[in-house]
Amino acid sequence: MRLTFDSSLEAIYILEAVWEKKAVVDFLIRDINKKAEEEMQMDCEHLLGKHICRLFPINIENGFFEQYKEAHLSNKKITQEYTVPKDYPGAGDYYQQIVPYSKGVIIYNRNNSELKNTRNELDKSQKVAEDLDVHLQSVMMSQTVYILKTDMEGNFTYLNDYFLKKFGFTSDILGTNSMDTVFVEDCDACMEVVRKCFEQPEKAHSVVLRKYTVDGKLKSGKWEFKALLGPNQELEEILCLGFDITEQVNAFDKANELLAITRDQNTRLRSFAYIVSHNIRSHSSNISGITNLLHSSLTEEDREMFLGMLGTSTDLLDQTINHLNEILTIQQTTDQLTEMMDLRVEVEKTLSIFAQDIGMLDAQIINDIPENTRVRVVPAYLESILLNLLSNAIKYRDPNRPLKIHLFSSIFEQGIRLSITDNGLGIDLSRHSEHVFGMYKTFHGNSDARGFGLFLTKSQVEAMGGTIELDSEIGKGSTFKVTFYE
Amino acid sequence: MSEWKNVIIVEDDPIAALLTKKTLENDSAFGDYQHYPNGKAALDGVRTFLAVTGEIPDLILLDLNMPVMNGWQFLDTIGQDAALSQIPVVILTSSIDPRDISRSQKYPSVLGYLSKPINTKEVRRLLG
Repeated sequence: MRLTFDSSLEAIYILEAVWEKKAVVDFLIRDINKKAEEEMQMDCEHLLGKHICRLFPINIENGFFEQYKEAHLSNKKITQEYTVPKDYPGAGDYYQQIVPYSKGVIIYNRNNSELKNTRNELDKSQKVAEDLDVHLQSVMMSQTVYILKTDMEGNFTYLNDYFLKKFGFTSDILGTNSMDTVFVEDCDACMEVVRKCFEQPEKAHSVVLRKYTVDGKLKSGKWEFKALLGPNQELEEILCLGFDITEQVNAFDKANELLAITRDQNTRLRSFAYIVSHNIRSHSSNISGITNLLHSSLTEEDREMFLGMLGTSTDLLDQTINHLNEILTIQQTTDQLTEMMDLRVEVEKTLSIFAQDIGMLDAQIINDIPENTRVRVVPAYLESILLNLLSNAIKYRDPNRPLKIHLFSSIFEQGIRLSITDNGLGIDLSRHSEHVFGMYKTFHGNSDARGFGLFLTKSQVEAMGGTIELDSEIGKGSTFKVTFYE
Repeated sequence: MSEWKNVIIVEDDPIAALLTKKTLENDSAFGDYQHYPNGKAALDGVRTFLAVTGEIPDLILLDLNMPVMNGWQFLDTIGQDAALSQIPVVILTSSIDPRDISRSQKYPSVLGYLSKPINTKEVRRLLG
């Protein structure tokens, strides 16, 4: 009996009521088992025969004494759970039964701490699992991340809604090959990152890929590929997570484009400054040289000649400054009012100005520009461009064959290109390509060539946001291509 | 007696060319001169001079910005000719572009780079 009593997993206290003046005032500890000794962390001999409330006044403070008394007096069992705070002997969570008997009460205490801890851990794990599920759900439903899975052949096995929505696909794409959606120039990079997944399945591998949307547009994405392993550690699928970086890529391209434009403008500005300096100095140095000579002893004839040259140099200096003003005006007024003009009509107007030359030279002019070919231009600039290009074609004709000028236009996505082809002298582009549109550059040694026309033309075309190019071959002729953008 | 008897002036601007001629005439150190309006004409002239006299000119005053053949193309061409590459050249230009100045220093026959209008004292200094 004693053995059973001591081997119980519950701490058992047998308490006998102490009566004074018809009232229970304490309980004597009649017996306790081994488990109770452990719980109290005291030997049996120190406890037996002692008044429990006198020994442990806490029994009164925390209301236990009242409960023992109640159980004993009412002869009813009380069941409860309680916790002994950390810093007290026997700290922990307890399940307690107070069972009355004729002389007092028997208390059964079971330490529930471990059970409770286990239950708490279980609750926590369940909460974590629930949270994880919510997180996973929210990731899969993500409106910022593309999530795809493919099998080892590259066929789609999973696509999240965000990817489908952004690329305009439906779930019909499941089972089709993922490489079909990769931009052709990025296929090698895609294959390379898949290869890395095979080689190092434990790591995620990054790659930037452009993919086609359902309507053929390209979107740039930063992707992470990771191999997913099956139960036997064999490669089963590839998980692909991606962010849309199309806007960043576009912004980066735009910034680079602006940088190139700025660099080009800087170079042009510096060159322009030296050209301006050169052009003004070429006349001012003449004026200075003539003035020096006028101070030396000269014949009357020479003096007259130098005075005439002084006048000429002054006029040329004035003309140069006017040219510079003209260029500066064009470069500063890029917001000039533009209008839609009929290119064919404008070409016909310009040709009529050269009607006399064309007639005298028996030149053949073919205007293949379709009617209603409309371009957005600054009207005065278009007029000046056509005048310059056509007068050049006439001026630099080949004297050994009749002049032929062919004008035609082609429409492309961003605008309209005007081509003017002649069979004139041509320019050796292998020697002059960098200087054709430069200021004061002349190529044929003509005494009336001033090297200003093509510089002016290029400035006017560019002020309207267009471009001008030249194809030319000595002895065959030239083609100027002027592109007007929408 | 002129120290530099045969001077070649390569200059497309007729006024600048005339000023150079008149300034040289006023300095006894310089003798005859020939004027050509661009590098191509000067090249033909110098070759003819060599063929007729068996000598090379004493000095070339060379402008840079010219039509048909500019100063650089002229320097490249004479640099490939054993005899013509021996002619001393002084660049006489309106350009003050530092890229032009540093480029001119790469040609062994170029003695110096002068700004117009010509100053014969400076030319003599360069010729030593």
